[in-house]
Amino acid sequence: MKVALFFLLINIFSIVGVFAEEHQAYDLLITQDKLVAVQVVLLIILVVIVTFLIRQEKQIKSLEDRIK
Amino acid sequence: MTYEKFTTQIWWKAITIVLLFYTCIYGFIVKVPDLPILEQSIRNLFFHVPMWFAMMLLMMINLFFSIKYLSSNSQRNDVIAEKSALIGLLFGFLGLATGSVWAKVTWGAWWVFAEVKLNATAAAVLVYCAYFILRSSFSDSEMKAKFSGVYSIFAFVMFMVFINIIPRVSGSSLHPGNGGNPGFNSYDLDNNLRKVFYPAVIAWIGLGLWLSSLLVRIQFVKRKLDSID
Repeated sequence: MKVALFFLLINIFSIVGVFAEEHQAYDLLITQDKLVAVQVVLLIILVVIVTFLIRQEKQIKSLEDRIK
Repeated sequence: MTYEKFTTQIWWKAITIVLLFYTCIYGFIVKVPDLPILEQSIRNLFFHVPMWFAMMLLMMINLFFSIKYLSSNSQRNDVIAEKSALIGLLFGFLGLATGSVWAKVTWGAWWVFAEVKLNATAAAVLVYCAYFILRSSFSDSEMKAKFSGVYSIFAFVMFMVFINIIPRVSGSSLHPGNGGNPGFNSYDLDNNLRKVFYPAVIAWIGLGLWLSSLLVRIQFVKRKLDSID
């Protein structure tokens, strides 16, 4: 079951790749004048990740202090 | 300094955040060498290569704590080994994804089957997928830790063979610096790439360590609540 799921995931990964080639976002990623757009997307992702990590850090710290 | 003490400290997490933002902001502003075909995609160097470095370091941690588990039988070492491998694998997939995008731009295909390094890295990632399949096949936690501890030694050796030795021995890789191709350093005359590349390596490694350490700490709290430790 887990192996089947793994191969399914790999297939989905390749399908997304094929669709992306047809999509406008693909041009956005590779053309020189759209670097800012890629940067903004990356920065948004980064802000979300960092916010999530800081919140997790605080929650775990309070849990660790409680069970000490 | 122990792993557990290091992972609760704040200073390196602050450095990681600063360097991540530096990579994503300055990495898109910095002047890059004007190379045909590569053009602006050369900026992927700040993402693709550090992903593999982060994976390598996390797999080294996996190896170290697996050996430590085998010599001490402490389940805590197994938890650290497992979570490091999990995040290492995530970085492996990110390395493959960023590499695939780069391959499409420069080589014209998402996956070049004749490229030794691509296939070898995919095999290396599969070796660690097998590590988790192996772990999930045991219900007894001690057996799980013992078998996966031994397997992780084999996995790390295979990982190194796949990503470092086979591509160099084959001599037919399309990757820069491999198969007789010039590396980026020969074009990076004003060292501009290095100004972002080295901080990016530290940043992505830091992010990997942070993610894995959070998973480890969650597991430790859970074990304490379940009165296992």
